[in-house]
Amino acid sequence: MLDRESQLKALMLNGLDGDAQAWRVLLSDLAAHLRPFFKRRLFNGESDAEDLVQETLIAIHAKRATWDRNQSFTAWAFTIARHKLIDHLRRQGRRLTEPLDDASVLLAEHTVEDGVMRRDLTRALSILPARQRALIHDVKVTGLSVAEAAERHGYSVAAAKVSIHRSFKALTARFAAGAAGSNDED
Amino acid sequence: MKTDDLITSLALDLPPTSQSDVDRRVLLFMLPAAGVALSGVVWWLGLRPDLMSAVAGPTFWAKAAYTAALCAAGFWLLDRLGRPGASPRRPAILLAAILAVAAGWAVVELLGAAPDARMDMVMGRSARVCPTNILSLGALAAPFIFFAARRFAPVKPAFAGAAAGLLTAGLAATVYGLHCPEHTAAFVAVWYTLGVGLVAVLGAALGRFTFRW
Repeated sequence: MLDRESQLKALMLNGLDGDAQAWRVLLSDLAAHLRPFFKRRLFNGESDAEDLVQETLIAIHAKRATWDRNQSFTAWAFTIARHKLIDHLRRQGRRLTEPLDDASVLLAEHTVEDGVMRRDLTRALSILPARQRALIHDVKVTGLSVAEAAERHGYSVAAAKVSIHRSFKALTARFAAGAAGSNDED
Repeated sequence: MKTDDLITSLALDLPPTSQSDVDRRVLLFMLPAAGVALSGVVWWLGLRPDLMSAVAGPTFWAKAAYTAALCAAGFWLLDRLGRPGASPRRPAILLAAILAVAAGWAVVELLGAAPDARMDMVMGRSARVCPTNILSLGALAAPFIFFAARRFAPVKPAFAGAAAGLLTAGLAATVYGLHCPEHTAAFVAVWYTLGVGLVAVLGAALGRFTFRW
């Protein structure tokens, strides 16, 4: 650890003198250590951690004159990283966010297209008898297997298959005709 | 932007930098700050009429030494609070020592005076306006100081703001000495300190916003 401190310190001193190569090495080294540091402390993972790594590197760059060479370099860099982390958490606390991936279950229901489609579907299925409608809804919309849906609605599997087949026929007959009819009206 | 690209572009913009850059910048901006405070005294408050004889005596300089010491303590505090990981302990001790000396001096002075003269020594003739005058002069000087101090990286912006306020107020109060004819240690210890403290408190509030980074 003491070795690392003196190694980083040497890079920092060269960087302060304008040595771009030393600066690149220093920042890359810090980035590699900051990444796990932030990841361990954030709830929603990777992208925020990378943002914080970059913010910290920018701060270390912009505020490099505030390092006092009589003091530990790692303590200075760590304090900046912690400041950026606290700042981030505070901002997040004010407006609590959840990653969108986890919310997709909710969001998928809310697109306009889905709404229109669901309404059409409900209307189409409404021509079927109730028990048949429930069965086909579970198989084709909810996504149960035929066996599961059959059991749920008191069909044998074979009877369920027949029922689904009949439903399709009825729907096709009704809406193929309906489509033709509406074409006529146009 | 990918982090590697960021590092490359940062390394391209790397003028040589020294740790004293920030301090020098604040010192440099203290000149215009003192300038506007001085013009505030000259054009608005007016120089004390007996200035010429006052600078020959010790009390004028004792007052200036007290306010200048507060200014220096503020500068040192700001420098420590503005550097991540640095400890403000030593400048804080200095500040406490300065305040203690002023308070002690005032007490000794009051104890040596006749009891019925003590109230007048504390109140002087300008007790009611002294703190607000220092506050006004401080407000004139503050933009320069706070702008210059933005180069620091305070982890506690409110504390750093108070330190910058102390620096500003010490400067403003020193210049105010060119107007203010009060000459007792008791007056200075109470009313100057109050005015300086007021600016430091406002500086803390200001620092919370201006010292974000």
